[in-house]
Amino acid sequence: MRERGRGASGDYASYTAFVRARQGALLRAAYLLTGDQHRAEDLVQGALVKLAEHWPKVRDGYPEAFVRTVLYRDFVSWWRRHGRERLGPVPDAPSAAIGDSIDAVPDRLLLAAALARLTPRQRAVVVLRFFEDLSTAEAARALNVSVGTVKSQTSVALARLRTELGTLDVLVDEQEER
Amino acid sequence: MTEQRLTNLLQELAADAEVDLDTAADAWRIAGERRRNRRVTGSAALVAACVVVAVVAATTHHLGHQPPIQTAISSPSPPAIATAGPQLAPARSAEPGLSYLDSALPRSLDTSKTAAAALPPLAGSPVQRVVALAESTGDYETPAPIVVIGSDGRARRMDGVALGWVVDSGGNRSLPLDSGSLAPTGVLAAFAQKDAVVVVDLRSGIFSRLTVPGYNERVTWSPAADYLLVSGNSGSTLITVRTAKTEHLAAVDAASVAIPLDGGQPENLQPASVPHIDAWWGQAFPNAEQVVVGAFSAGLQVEGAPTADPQVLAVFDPNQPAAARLLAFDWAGRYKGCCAALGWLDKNTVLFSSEGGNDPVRILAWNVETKAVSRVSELTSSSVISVALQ
Repeated sequence: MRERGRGASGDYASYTAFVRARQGALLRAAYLLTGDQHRAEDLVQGALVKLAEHWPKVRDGYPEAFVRTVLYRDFVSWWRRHGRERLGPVPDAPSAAIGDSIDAVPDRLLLAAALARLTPRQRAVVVLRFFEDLSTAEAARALNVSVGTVKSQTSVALARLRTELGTLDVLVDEQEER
Repeated sequence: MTEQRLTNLLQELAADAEVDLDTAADAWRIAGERRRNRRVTGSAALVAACVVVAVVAATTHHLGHQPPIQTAISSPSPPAIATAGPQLAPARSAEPGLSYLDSALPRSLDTSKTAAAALPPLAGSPVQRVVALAESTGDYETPAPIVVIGSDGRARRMDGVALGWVVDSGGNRSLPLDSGSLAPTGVLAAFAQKDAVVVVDLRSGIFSRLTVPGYNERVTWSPAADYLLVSGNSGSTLITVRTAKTEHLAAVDAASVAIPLDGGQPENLQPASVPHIDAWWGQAFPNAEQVVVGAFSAGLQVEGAPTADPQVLAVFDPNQPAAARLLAFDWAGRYKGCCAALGWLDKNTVLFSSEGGNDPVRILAWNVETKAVSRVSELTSSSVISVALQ
């Protein structure tokens, strides 16, 4: 049987323990979503504040699912509500200079540039499905959309990433040949 | 690229994030402050609600005094747009060199909270017609004052109407001013609030608070201002202005782009109907024959643009979306979502906002016939703006 803390001090202790165990993973996901360390920290902070507001109700249920849902919905809805995204300019696709080795531009930077060209919801489904390894149904619940929407957004996002990361396919092929 | 390869790359990219933080204590403290603030705000809101109830009955009939304006948007019309390739907009860096197109807007507008608070109140400086409303989007505890630009070119601040953030159950909030708030006639303005919409007669300051359940965030007027569409997460409410009659439309929400026609039924624009459009961005604004709306493109290459899939402004007849004209914005120096439609200056000239980097927000004009792109105004502070210049 799980031991329950008493009153506010017990809530605070359990909340703190949960956050310290999970905040790294949340920050990484937020970083993939926003592409920016500061925005990622703001996004996670906002989600953790809401978790704290609801902690007495969610602590014995599914706090993990709760904070993930808040994080992703905040990310998508912040965009829509504020009407502008406070990132820096969308980075130009990194390119290696003529004569550089194919390792001149790290693959992950190519991916970062490609992610930045997705819409917020497309980015969210990519991170949920392929970084957080959620099922289609779990991703749909996190974003409060239908399974069909997740599938269609995933399909569009992957197609765009494959177009943007065409060079990457070549790199993969060459590496596999070695 | 295999899906496993994508997963591996995402993990590599995520490893760049700095995770050595301790946020628990701050988050817990902020949550406690919010709970305390809500207890105080709830009491004040109850008092304000009692005050406005008496106003609604007396003022509803004031909303009907609008001269009818003929529109043809709901009627099929012969093709007015020749199919043409996308036009590339001037680079962000070239915008300061664009010539000005004079309008009723001042060339520079200071909408910062400090400047707005120092403006004379609207009640003491009445207007016949308003050409723009603007509100700074700074992260303030209370929304910044709304700047009112009259047709006389003078700025005032809106007073006499209590407008707050719309805050949903998750704590997300949006400004009361929306790009569609100012009616095309320049006489009425609508502000989305939680469970309500506030409609203000800007000439007299008389306002009505109409019940519209939900977390409302977007308002859209019909061209003659006879209908008002109020949208939120759970659908929209179509209001007939003369009678204050409401109709709930579940299929149209704030993420849709829908224009209330003067016949009453909204036209819900589908991105797929316009070639190369992936998703809409911002509000759509109709004139007698066409609609202008911002969008994200897909599979679009524009001659002279260094990158693919630029953001665009689309102008089209809703009956013939395939013949849309597109103004494309290259990514260099621009935010995603940089360029949103704001309305019409005349029957051939659309207005839009341009943002990016540390430069001011610019209001630009695009003449779809001559293809000229001009400057109209610059805002010194990041703001939401709603215009009625036609």
